[in-house]
Order: sequence, then C-alpha cells, then structure tokens
Amino acid sequence: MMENLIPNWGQMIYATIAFFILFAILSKFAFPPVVKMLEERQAKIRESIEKAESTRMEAERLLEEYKKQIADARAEAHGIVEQGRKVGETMKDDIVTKARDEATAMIAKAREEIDAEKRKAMDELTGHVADLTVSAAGRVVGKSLNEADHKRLIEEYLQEIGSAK
Amino acid sequence: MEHIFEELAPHAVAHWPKVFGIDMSPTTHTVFLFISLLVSFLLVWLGARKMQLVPTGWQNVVESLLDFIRTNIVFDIIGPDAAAWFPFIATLFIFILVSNLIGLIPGAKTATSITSTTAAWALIVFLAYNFIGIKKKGLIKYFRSFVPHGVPLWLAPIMFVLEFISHLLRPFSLAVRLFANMTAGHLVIGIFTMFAMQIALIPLKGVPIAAVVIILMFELFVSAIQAYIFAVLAAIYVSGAVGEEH
Repeated sequence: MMENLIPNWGQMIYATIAFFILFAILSKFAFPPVVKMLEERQAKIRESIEKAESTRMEAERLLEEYKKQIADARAEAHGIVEQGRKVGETMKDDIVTKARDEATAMIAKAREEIDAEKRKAMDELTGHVADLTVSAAGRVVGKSLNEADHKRLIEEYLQEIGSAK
Repeated sequence: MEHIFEELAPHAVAHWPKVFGIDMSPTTHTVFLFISLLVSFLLVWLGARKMQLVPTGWQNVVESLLDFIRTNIVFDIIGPDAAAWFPFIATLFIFILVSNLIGLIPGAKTATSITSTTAAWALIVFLAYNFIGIKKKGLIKYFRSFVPHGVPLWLAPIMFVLEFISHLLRPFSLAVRLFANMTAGHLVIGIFTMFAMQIALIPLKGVPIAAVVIILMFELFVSAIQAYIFAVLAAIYVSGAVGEEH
C-alpha cells in the first residue's frame, strides 16, 4: 500500500510522458477540428439568426408597403369610379339638355312650317274664292266686269268680311 | 484486508535497468496509464475525425464534453481570451476521467490511484501556471501579486508568506485529493467484494453485492467529479496567475 502513497520518480516520469503524449496528439489531431466546428457552428447559428431577423424585418417592411399600395390602389379606384360617375352624370345632363333643346327647336320649326303651309293654303283658298265669286257674280249680274273691277270688288268684299269678323 | 491492499498496489510487470539511478520498471499501473492514454485519445479522436456541421452519434458526445470544458471551465474561469489554455485543461480532464473510469473495470488498475501519477500531473499544473504567471507579469510583479492591494504594510510580509505556502501546497492538495478519492473508492469496493465472497450464507450474500453495485455507481459519479475538480482547480490557478492583481 505504501507504493501507492509514496510517489516514485520512475512512475512520475511515465505519468509526465503520458500526459505530454496525450496533450500533443489531442492538440494535433482531435481538438482543432472540434474547436473549429464549434466556432463554425456558433458563427453559422449567429448568422442564421441575424439572417432570419433581417428577413423578418424585410418581410414586415414589404407587408407594410403592400398594405399601403393596396390602400392607395383602393383609394385611386374609388376616385376613378367617383370621377366616372360625375362624368356620366354630366354627360347625361348634357344629353338631356341637348335633346330638350333639339325637341324644342324641332317643335318650333314644325310650328313655323305649319304656319307657312297654313298661310299658303289660305292664300290659295283666297284666290279660289275670288275666282268663284267673280264667275258667280258675273253670272248673276249678267255682265262681265273687267279684270281690274273684279279685283277691286273682291278686295272690297274681303275687307268687308275681314272687318265684319 | 492485506489481500485488498496487495490488489491495489502496483506490481512490476517487467524489470528494466535503472536510468540515472531511477527505477524505470513499468508496473501494472504504468500499463493502465498508457491504456488510459490510448483510450482517451481514441474516444476523442473517433468523435473528431469526421466533423459534421450537424453532429451525429459519437461526435455529439465528444462535442458536448469538449464544449463543456471549453465554455464552463476554460472561458468561464480563466476568461474569454483563454482559448490557448483549452488543450491543456481538456487533456487533464479527459485523461483523469478516463483513468478513473477504466479503474472501475474489474481487474483493471486505476492510474490515478497512485500518487506518482497524480503528483506528476499536479506538478505539471503547478509549473505551468507559475511559468505563465511569471512570463506574463515578470518575476517581481508576479510575487507582488501574492499580496492583495490595500493590505497594510505590516501585514504584507505575513500575507506573502501565507500565500507562498498556499501556492506550494497546491500541487500537494491536487495530488492527494485525486489519489485519496480514487484509492478510497476502490478500497471500499474491494472490502465489500471480499465480504460478499466470504459470506457462506447464500441469502445474505445479496447484501454486500447490492452494496458493491451501489458503491460502483457512486464511484462513476466520483470519477467524473474528481476529474472536474482537478480541471477546475487547474483553471482557477491559471486564472489567478495570468489574471489582474486582486
């Protein structure tokens, strides 16, 4: 048991050599790849987190932008519809007004034409009545009056009729 | 009882000539020291030879262990710039852990249950941290750091002597703690095993066997704890030597 308790140089040298051998081979072959991988993974995780964060922010920014665009588009569409309605109403009013004017004009024109026709018919009728009257009077009187007398008589008659009315 | 002591003691496996008066004959413990060395290397190397970003299988175990040593012992105790100390502390931790665990295999010897091994490693720690401390601060400043700032002048020499002695005792305490824990555990396991073998009554045999199983499980825990303590103390000593004066 004392051999356990009291250190001896030979075993200490072996223990020292063993330690440095393990230290050397682990440092050469085992630790560097593990440490490199741990650092790499740490960097990768950090990078992923940062990337995810920036992607999230970008997504939020885009969402805001799209929301704004949709709101703008909606407002614009509303404006266009409103404007269309106004234009439509103005056009309707114009058309109605124009139609009314045209109708009024047509009516006036028709009235004028009717008056003209009426006047023309009246003139023709007056002529016929005069002729008939002359021939009838001639037959009654038995004598023929000359043309100028006829005319004068008729005129007088007509004026009498006109004033009698 | 003698039989157990005999069992735990190192025995020469070969008789080699003395070198400068030092007996270099390898013992059973020397053999298991180098077996522990080989196993330590293989265990770490097998996990580290094909590193993948997404770890699988044994790589997970090796990475977890090394990351624990690197983060929880080296960086937390010595400081974030202490990456250079990682191989040293990790080698200590792994070598001690594997030696302790191999000693629990029936028939195997624990390389750390003789003071020759633990004293050698404690001395390596002692020399390493003092060397680095002196190299970093200079001899005078290093010794001056033994006395904390603000200590009255008349107290300074006493503090220095106390601190000096405490430094000298460090390798001693490191070596004895590990040796004593490993030896005591094996002694208890040996005693209960012997007890089990000597009890003639079959039904009663279960008691010491159950005790051996429980102690063996406890020893697994002690093996890891002792490796951790050795590594942590080494890191604390290094930290004290290279850190700012306190």
